[in-house]
Amino acid sequence: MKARIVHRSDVLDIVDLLRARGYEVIAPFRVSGRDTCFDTVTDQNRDAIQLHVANPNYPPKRYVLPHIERLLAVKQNGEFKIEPTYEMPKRALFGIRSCDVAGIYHLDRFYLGREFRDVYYENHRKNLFLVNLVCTDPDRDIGNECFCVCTDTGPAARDHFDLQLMDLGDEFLAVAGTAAGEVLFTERIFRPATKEHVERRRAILDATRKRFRKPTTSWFSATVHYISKGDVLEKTWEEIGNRCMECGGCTYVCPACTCFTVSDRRTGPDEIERVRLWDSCALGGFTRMAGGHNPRRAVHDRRNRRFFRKLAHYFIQRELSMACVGCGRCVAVCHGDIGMPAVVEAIRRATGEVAK
Amino acid sequence: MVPAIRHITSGTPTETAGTECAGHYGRQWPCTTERPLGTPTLFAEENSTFKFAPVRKHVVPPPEQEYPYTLVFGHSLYYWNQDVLVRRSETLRREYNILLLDYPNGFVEINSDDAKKIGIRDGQQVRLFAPRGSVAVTVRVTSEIRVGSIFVPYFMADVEQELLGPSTEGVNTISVRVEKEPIA
Repeated sequence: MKARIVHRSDVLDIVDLLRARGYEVIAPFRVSGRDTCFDTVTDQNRDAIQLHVANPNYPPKRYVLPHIERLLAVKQNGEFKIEPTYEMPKRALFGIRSCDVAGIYHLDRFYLGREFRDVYYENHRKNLFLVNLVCTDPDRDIGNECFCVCTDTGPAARDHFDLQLMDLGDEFLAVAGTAAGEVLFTERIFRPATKEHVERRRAILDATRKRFRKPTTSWFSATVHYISKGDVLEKTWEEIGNRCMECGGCTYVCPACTCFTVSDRRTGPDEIERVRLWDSCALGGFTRMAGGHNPRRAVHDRRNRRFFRKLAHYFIQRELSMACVGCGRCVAVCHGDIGMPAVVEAIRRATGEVAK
Repeated sequence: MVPAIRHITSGTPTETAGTECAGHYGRQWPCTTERPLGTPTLFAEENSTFKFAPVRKHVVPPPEQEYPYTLVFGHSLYYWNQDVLVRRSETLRREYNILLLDYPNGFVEINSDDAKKIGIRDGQQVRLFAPRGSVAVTVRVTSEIRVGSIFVPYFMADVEQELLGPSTEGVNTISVRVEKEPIA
């Protein structure tokens, strides 16, 4: 990997460079208070880009797997005509966190990693350029809910990014993860990095790892073991399910959730479109079959589906990556306090006592 | 500060004078004239006191012998007001449609323990008797409802009309009796 140094005042020039190369650049912005969002960079808002802010709750996943996406249109004009619609944007995500980089990698594994490659996903992913920003500011970057140290996805991503930036104070250390990222290094704003910079990076990372608020709450390995062996008691799942309000919030903010549903809707007098949209296992209709039978009718049966999908060894082995990246968004939005760390801990405690 | 807001908040104990709430990670309520940046701890100063007021306990009248169940009217999870918002959201509309597929004639919800006592199963017909009238409905057996109560979502308009009569604005609980409806 190649490393370069960018001066603090030149960091946003990377956005300009990407825009000059024809990318639609997406970057984090502050809305108001602690509310932040990802948005397209234009000439007007370019200077308002935030480097260190709370990670937006609405994940950048939607730039590779849109919340709602048209797959095809059916037109009736004497005869039926089916027109598939492919969108092939050239996008760059600037300033996304290491957890979200891991989330996009998980989606890659799910949608492109096996025999069937999802064309729609591939079109979105093909021209995507990822600029990862390492979380170094303990007050603004690291939220109360973050637990990426437990899922081994942060605070600095090891790969799957094109360019990684890390705040060293007056300067930013830029690391290229792919050839596409390395091409940028020919630009004049990048200066060679010295050994001293690399040392400083290591020191900052070591210090940052100690700044996580609740670093020990999610020891995944024990829970993965219990869930994979089927040791978790029905009572534990019921206790977790009883706290679920079936809002689906956890799945809609998750950067690694892959489930979608397909729906047809009328768009004109002789025209319908087929859309694909995010779906949530928290909702009763998710597993209901056409005949009316619902194998996961009870709330706790639906809820354990989510954690089984994310923590069972079968799925981790199949995708070669875990479907939880430690961003802590489910903790932030859950009304019943059954975000990932709470469930991991509950299962570990309840099952561990029985196993003894 | 916007003059209108100053006007609204004038005279209230926590006047939000001089607060610019946009940006910078929010502030701890209340933002007063003395502490425009927020008050981390209330009543931190000396000589400042507050009083506890007793909360009056709500007395629930014992259920009448003849009408042991309390009927509650309310919003269903996927039916809200006239449902204009839910029906325009793909996912929520699916959930609503599935409810109607499972219970084509609508439903009232009853606790599973009560259902066992009466001897009814999910999807079965029952007749609800109130002092003013009676109505036949399908039951949805669920443990999400409290024992001794029956929940009627608002879209079951006929239940409301039959049991309450015409002029019943603002009534949202009545006592009823449940009887098994013979299977026709």
